[in-house]
Amino acid sequence: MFTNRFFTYPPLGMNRRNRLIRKGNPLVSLRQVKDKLGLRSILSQNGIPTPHTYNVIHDFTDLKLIPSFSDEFVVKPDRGYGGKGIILLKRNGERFVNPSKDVYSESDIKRHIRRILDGEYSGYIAQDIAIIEQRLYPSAKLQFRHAYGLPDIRIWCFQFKPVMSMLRYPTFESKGRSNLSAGGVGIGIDLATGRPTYVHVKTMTLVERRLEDLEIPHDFVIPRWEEIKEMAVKCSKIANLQMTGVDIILDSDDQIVVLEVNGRPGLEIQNINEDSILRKISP
Amino acid sequence: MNMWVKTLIGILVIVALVGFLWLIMGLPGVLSREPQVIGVLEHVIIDSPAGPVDIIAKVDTGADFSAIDRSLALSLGFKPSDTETKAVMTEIGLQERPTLRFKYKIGTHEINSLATVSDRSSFSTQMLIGREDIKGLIVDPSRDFLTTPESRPPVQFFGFLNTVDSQLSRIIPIIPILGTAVVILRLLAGVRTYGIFAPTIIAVTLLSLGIIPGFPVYVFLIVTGIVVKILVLDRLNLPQVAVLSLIIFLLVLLMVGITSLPAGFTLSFNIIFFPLIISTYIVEQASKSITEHGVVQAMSLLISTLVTALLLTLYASFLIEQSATVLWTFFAVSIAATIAAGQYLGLRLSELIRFKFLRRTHVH
Repeated sequence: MFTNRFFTYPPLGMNRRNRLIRKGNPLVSLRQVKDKLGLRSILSQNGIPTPHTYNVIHDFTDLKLIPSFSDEFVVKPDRGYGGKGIILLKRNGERFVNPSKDVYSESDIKRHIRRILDGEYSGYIAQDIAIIEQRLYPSAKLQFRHAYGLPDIRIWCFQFKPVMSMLRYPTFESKGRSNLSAGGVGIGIDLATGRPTYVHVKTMTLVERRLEDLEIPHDFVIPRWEEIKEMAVKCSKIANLQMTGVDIILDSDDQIVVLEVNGRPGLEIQNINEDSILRKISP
Repeated sequence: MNMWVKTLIGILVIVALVGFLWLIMGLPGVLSREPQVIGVLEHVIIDSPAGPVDIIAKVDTGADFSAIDRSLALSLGFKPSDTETKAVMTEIGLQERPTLRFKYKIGTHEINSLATVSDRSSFSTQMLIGREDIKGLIVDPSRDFLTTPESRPPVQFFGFLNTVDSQLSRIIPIIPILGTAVVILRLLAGVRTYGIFAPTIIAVTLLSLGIIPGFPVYVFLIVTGIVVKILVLDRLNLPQVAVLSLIIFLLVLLMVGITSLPAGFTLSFNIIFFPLIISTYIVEQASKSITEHGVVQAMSLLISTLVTALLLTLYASFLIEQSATVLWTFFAVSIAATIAAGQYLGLRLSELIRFKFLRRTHVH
């Protein structure tokens, strides 16, 4: 095909991805994973660790009932996507700060929650639920230079086999969000060995970084790599989705915690790994 | 169930019932208030002692009263009254003429007439309809027989296929054809826009306004909307729905401002209505995207939306010039093209650029 003139092996494009999603990801399962709370309870029933939920806010009455905020927490929309509407907060006297040092008062937080409830971060649905949950801290083994917040590991699975993986970490600019579209940095991870390969960023405003710039040791391997891959496969099976992007983190105790199972995983991971998913899933 | 919810549902049902009753009772009244248009020559059905009789009458808006031929009136069994007379101005001066009271119908419109009776044998029509009889009707002097069922164009299921004089009936089949263009641009070229079919609606508007004043004015509208939203509305800390509503206010103010300019155009209801909602959505999405992804990404998406709309307008202005046969050929081909484009599983043109680190030319 004409694409062979451009690519050694053509990447998986949106058209084919969407066809595979239509074929392999049933709508019911997609809806299930989109609801973070629902997914969380299904995962924990299967013994898979997920972040602790402190409060679930369904409406403004729930918002009034919150006596006080804890010292550290994360606010996120239940059906948000692309990391939108998520803020990580830590108490600083009467107020709270996020990783980018923006200051939030209690009423600022409540206003943000009201926005979440109005569905502002959840596409064009009429309303959403806000979740206040445990703020997790990263494993010391995943702290690199320029890292700014909690890195997560994305395992891209197809037909319950891991296909490609990357490590994403937030930067100062991305306000604690690791999503590539928000300005997070992606590091390709070799699936077999768990070793980093390439570093890439998606947004045009950030300068390209190399592995050396991050001061990643030469012998670095993602800790508990085999278990992480197994966990992603297990989550895909539970979610009943043939194509998934499973987001996993290693917390400060090096424990595996599943953040999210994405039923419509992005294709940018191919750029990060400089490799084609199509090549890996073609028989 | 919550008591408030019950109350609200109750109010809703009552309002709906009132609306329904109003429709049932009021609709005929509303319809009859629509003035009927009649031509110069019309069939009228006279309610005569000999039964209903159909004759051709001529509308004469220069006359106060209707006039009927004496021999016709007599042959129908009418008895013209010589005691009740009307003074009528004729070429030979003021004349006292006998009168006749009778009923007749133009179309469905029933008229109680007081007509003068005279010898009309030298005229082409046996009856003239004067102003008194046609109060509430509109006369189109260029046409005849507008109320006669047989003379109306036959109602066809695909009647609009033959209609060439109506702009609207030509725009309607163009809309899905433009939709197909959007599908192809998206699936084959990877063109992304704010709101998948927003450019289609913008194109239809531009088609009516004309690209030359229309496009720049529309861009002005959107950009002003975005600037005001970011500089003013975002600082008010309002919920999304309130912000959206204020954007609609803003856009309407801008549109009203534009129409009041010396070079402004007259915007009809159907022209402003659809782009208003679409434009509100575009303004909201673009300004959100500026704060989230930066100006570059937001503006490139906005520009691709507007350029797509421009291309679709050119396509639409080509289509609207075509004959009905060509237009409906495009219509049919577009259905097939939409299905065919949906089968394409290869890379989108934009993905050749997107996956730059997989390209042969990329050297690490």
